[in-house]
Amino acid sequence: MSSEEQQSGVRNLFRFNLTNSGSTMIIKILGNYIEDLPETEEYLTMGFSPSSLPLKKRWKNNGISADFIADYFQSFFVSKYAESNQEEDEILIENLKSTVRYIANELLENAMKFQDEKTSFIAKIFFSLYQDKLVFNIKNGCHLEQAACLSTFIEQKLLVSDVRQLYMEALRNSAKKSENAPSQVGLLSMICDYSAQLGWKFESSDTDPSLMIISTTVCLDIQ
Amino acid sequence: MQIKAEKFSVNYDNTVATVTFEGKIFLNGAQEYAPILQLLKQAATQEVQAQHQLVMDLRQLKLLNSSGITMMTKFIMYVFEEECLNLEVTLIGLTAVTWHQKLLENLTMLQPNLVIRLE
Repeated sequence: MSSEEQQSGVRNLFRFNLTNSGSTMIIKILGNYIEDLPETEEYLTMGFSPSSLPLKKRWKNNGISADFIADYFQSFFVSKYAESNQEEDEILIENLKSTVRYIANELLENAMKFQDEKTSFIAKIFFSLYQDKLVFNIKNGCHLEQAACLSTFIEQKLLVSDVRQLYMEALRNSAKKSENAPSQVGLLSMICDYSAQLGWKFESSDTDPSLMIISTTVCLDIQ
Repeated sequence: MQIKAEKFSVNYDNTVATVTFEGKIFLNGAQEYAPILQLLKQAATQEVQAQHQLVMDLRQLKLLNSSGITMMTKFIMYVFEEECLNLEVTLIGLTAVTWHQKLLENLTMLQPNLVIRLE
């Protein structure tokens, strides 16, 4: 099979649920994707250009960015919503901060791993604070094959299985693999260990037919 | 034996049969975690001959990414399944840190012979 035929095959996987959305075409929405976030006064947006630094350096920056988002959360959340400084509250806030750091880091790692370095598509992470929830939205561009792989995992495994069992299987399987095959341990840990609600939107790119734009939302209830 | 980087350290002290993890570990995949896995395997091999137990102290660990969780799983499976080592492995975490509890709980589900201690 030629590479053109392969690409066409992968593209067929996405050929349903088409709706127009400006210059891009929404191909599929999966899970608990949050399309329209309510307005908030507190939010943070960061952009990452794929070709600005080598992957190794950008990887280190994931940790720095995740720390920054976690510090931002602590600073704004505590000043706005926390009412007392009792030890119990401090533990709760510290745990929420760890959660924000872990999720931000995992989302950035995934975006960096699958970001197509040949395109100029800038990956962006949005982080919004609400009184009762925290919402991450990360948008990145990746190859059709990788997008198809993620979409198949979500539809055929994640949304139809016992997630906890799937997580244990993923851990067992990933421990047996020597290579860096996508294990989805990161996604599953967000759901199982941090009670996060995840959703995905797959969009075609109007400038690059080999590119799929994936937006992932992660919502954490904090009440 | 010690691995030290800007954001983390992993230190094996054979006098107390303990590997201590500190800081934030967010390395990229199995390849970058290989030296830590190697340190753990060496510590395990050494303690099989010496104290027949190995403690993994995570109390000062602030972040472990999913590749790190996979690396820990890999080590636990290695000790209990692959090599049939006669070694008691204890993991120590903090009760106040929710993700420590979850990690230890998950690893115990995979390997019930693991001893966990939350302080």
